[in-house]
Amino acid sequence: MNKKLLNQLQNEMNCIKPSNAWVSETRQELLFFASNHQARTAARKWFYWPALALTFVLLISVAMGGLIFYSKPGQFLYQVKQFIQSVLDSATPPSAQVKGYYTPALHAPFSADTFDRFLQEDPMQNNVQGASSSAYSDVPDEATVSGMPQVTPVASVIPEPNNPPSQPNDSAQEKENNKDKQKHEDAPLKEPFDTRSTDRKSQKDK
Amino acid sequence: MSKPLKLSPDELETVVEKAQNGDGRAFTRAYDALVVRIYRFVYSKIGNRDDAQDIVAETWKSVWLHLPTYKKGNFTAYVFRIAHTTCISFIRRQKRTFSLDEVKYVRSTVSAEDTMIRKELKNEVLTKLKQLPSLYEEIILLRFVEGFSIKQTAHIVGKPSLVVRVTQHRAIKKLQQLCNGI
Repeated sequence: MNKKLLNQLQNEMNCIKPSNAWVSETRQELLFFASNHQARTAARKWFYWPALALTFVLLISVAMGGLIFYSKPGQFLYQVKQFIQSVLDSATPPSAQVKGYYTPALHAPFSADTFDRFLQEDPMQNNVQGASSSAYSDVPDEATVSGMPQVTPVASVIPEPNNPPSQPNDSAQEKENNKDKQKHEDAPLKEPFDTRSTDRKSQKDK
Repeated sequence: MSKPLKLSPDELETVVEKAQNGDGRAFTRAYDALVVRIYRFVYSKIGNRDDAQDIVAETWKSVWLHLPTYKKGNFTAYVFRIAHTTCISFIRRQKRTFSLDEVKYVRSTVSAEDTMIRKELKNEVLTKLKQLPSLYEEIILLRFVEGFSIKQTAHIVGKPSLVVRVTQHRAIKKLQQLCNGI
């Protein structure tokens, strides 16, 4: 390249300079940026490994939990499941355990056979006769359920309409009541109380 | 303007090594040594003072972020390479975001300082250089103003050495044709 041309170009390029204020301002900005970036990087380094380890432990525990929960009898994990179950049962406080009110017969699901028999037979007839229906054969009587209070039959509480209790003074009192009623009906109807008429009368008297 | 910090290549490498170990002060020393050269290079490419300042600041932030990956070699060429890529991405962004209406506005916002420099350099070599294609201009600046070798220039512009050599030859010819009257 022509030497003269090159010198001229270099001189012209030397004219291009950034302002002093901008250079120092950018230097401060860079220093702040560098320190900030360093702090962030250090924090990330401290956070990264614990977070990774925790995620790993969580994933493993969830996977193990799933395997134990869906284990079948005969597998090793099923024994672990039973062990956990027994530990949980023993850890349950006695107040939380319902005793005496649970009977397998009552809480057993209603079988299809029982339902068919229930439809075919007339349970009312069986009740009148007092014999236990075959439809209810697999359901125990209330009295047999342990812990349940014995309920008195409703029929023994309500008096039978055919044999009312005898009351000797009843007819005489009834006659008196009828007489009073008759008197009350025979009495002439009084005029309704008219306040205006009484007012007029009082004015006339005055 | 205080004189730019002058560091020999070995000193610069030592400073950069310290910066790589997390020394922010050492990094600012490297910045002081190179900021004017980088600014000149960016300004000659962009032609706008404010944009050039933004690009230079962005370049140095990028240098700090990529400093751990820097292997001992030529730090100056490394910074120039980052400045070159930042300029290219800036120009692409401008092309993407500028509409025709905005071009008028941008032209009108050229600062008084820019206008002064342009007046001073009217009909001079730098103005003629602006008329060359951007790769020609860039190679001439890097080779004859910044003093990089063919290999380093090739690294900065991201082209093979042979391409740089041929382009340099064509660029000189073209510039001499343009400057015949000077």
